[in-house]
Amino acid sequence: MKFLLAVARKDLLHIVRDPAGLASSIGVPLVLLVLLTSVFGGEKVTPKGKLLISDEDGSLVSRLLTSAFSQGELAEMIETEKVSTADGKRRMDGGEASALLIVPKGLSEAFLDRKPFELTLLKNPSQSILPELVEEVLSVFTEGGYYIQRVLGDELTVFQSRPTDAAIADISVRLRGVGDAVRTLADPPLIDVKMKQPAARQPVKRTSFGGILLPGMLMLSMLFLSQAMCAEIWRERTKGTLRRLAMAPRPLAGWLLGRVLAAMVVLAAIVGITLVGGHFGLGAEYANPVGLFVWCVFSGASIYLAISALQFHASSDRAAATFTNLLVLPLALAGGSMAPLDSLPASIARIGRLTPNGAAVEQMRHLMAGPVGGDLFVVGAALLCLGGAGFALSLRALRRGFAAG
Amino acid sequence: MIAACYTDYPGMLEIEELRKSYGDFTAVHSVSLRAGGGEVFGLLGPNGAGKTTTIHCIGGLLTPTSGHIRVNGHDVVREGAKARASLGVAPQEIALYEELSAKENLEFWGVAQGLASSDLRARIPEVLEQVGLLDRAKDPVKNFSGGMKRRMNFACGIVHRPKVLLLDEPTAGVDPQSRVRILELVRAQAREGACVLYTTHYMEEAEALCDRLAIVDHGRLIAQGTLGELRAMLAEKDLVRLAGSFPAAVAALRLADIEVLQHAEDALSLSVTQAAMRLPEIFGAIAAAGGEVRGATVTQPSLESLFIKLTGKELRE
Repeated sequence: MKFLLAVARKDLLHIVRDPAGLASSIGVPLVLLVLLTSVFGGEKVTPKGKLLISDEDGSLVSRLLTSAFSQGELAEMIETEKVSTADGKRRMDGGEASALLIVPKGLSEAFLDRKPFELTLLKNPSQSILPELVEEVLSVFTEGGYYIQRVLGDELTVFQSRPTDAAIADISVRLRGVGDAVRTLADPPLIDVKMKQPAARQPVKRTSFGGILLPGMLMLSMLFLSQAMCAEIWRERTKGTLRRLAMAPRPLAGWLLGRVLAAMVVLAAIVGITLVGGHFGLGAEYANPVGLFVWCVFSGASIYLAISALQFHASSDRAAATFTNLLVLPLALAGGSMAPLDSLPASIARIGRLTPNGAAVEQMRHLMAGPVGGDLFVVGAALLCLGGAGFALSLRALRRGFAAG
Repeated sequence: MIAACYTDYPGMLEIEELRKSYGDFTAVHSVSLRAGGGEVFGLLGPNGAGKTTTIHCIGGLLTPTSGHIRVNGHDVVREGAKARASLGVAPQEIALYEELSAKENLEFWGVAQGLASSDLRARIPEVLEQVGLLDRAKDPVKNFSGGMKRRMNFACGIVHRPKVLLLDEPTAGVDPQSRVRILELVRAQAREGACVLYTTHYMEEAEALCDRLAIVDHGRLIAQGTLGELRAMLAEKDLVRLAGSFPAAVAALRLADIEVLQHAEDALSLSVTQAAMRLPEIFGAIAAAGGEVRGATVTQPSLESLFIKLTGKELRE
């Protein structure tokens, strides 16, 4: 234990006295955060989500409502797909879509008879932007529908039976005349949207745009930091300190554990500063701040150990640097560090969720939004296995002659 | 080749028939030696002779292909941690943490060697005093000169008072003052009872420092003994180094009590009894064989002449 602490102290002193590597680990994601914020403010980057629609009513009114999501600019942001209610719920449970809109039977009659009616919208709690967008759009349309109902209620009754072409033409002319009248009406709409989300994930914290990017950027920092700290392994080997240490009586496992301890202290500092800064500077909200902090440090340490193992198995310091560079950047891109996974093409997002950093970022978002789900423990177990394997492989390489050079 | 040549020294460090191979290449062939407490044992040889491989085997960094090594009675393979607890190492490279101060480096290496905190606190100023760096205790090692770093490298090897001290070319690339200081430190360690294994390719250092010596070349131990014993192998012959032009016929010269040790087109080394008296005879014979002498150096019997005699080449080649 004393040796482990001595190794950790030595590594921390090294970082404190030569903070260039640490600064770049934090600085690069910060610059990226600024750049991405600028890019997201532009016109070309549009997040795309999937809206599942279960139209149990199948009437003209329900078709008018659901087709609204396939019109104009909205169609660029939301991809709609018609499903049965059961299939839609199954796919929502699998996290395959941003939201599920259920239009129960009876919408058309209720709308034409000016009776209250309830639509159901199930939102994916792991996504932040797109479900909100669907909710907003639906609210606008229900309100619009209400005003149409109030102003043109008599005319619309013609749709209760199959209207003739002449009747439709007549209604079109009358619609022109009543356009201004809708502004004078302010009664609450009769059609209401009932929002539903899985009970286990309630309540959901809403966060800012910066807060949405924060988990990815934090993971990017942790990836860079791990890479920088792991490069020290080769530095110790080329300097001969590792060789000298291998000729000392203390076990090399202590050296490795000491390094992990130092990495965790640095990760904890970075995570703490980022979360506090994110809250006060970017308006990020955390439903479970302690859990989020622990998760970030834990996932960072697992990734650090995995990168360590790669360093130990490279043939030279240059090969190690090249290999980890080639690995870290694609991982960061696919794993949602540069942009949220929701906004990536579906195929890349699918791969991204399978990467250790991508899976960890997804869970960070869940922890920011609300209470944890069962998949947190699954991902946690996978990261634990990854870290354990990284440690075992590193120790094996050390004992098999890495230290000897 | 000498397979084994044990002396009366109690075996603080014992190497028996050490062999280390990498596939078809054998770096160390059946090396055996024994060194005791209070002794400075020199391991001499050119680069690539197998000195560092031997040190790495003693330190447990490499597992011997065959043979046994015992440090303070503990087998380095079967009782690695116990053997290493008696070892102190000053490697060829400056194996220090440069961002850390001299004191912090000693703290780290002391803990790595298993020194208790109370001992460490008392020992650090003592060691810094010995190596002449007490006034620089709080300075980062990166600000030290080359000679100071070498002394610091040595200090980290002795902080835990090792029973066996492995010094792998500890004076490589240092200024004369630091060299003298390091040699004094090595002698002090031996006086305190440590067994010192000292590898070098500086003959003058080995002659000045070592109680006994072993000469290795191509992984083989080719001579072992005290300085006197080794000098006796030369039969008090001087080493004559000639520069000039020496055709192949010169190498075949047959003169009484003169042995050609090394021959090249522009250099010739001879082992000669009473060389100063016989130079005219040698020059005449070379001229008769078609050669030409442009310069000559006569050296008294030394390790260097022994090395050339045993291996046919200079130590620094």
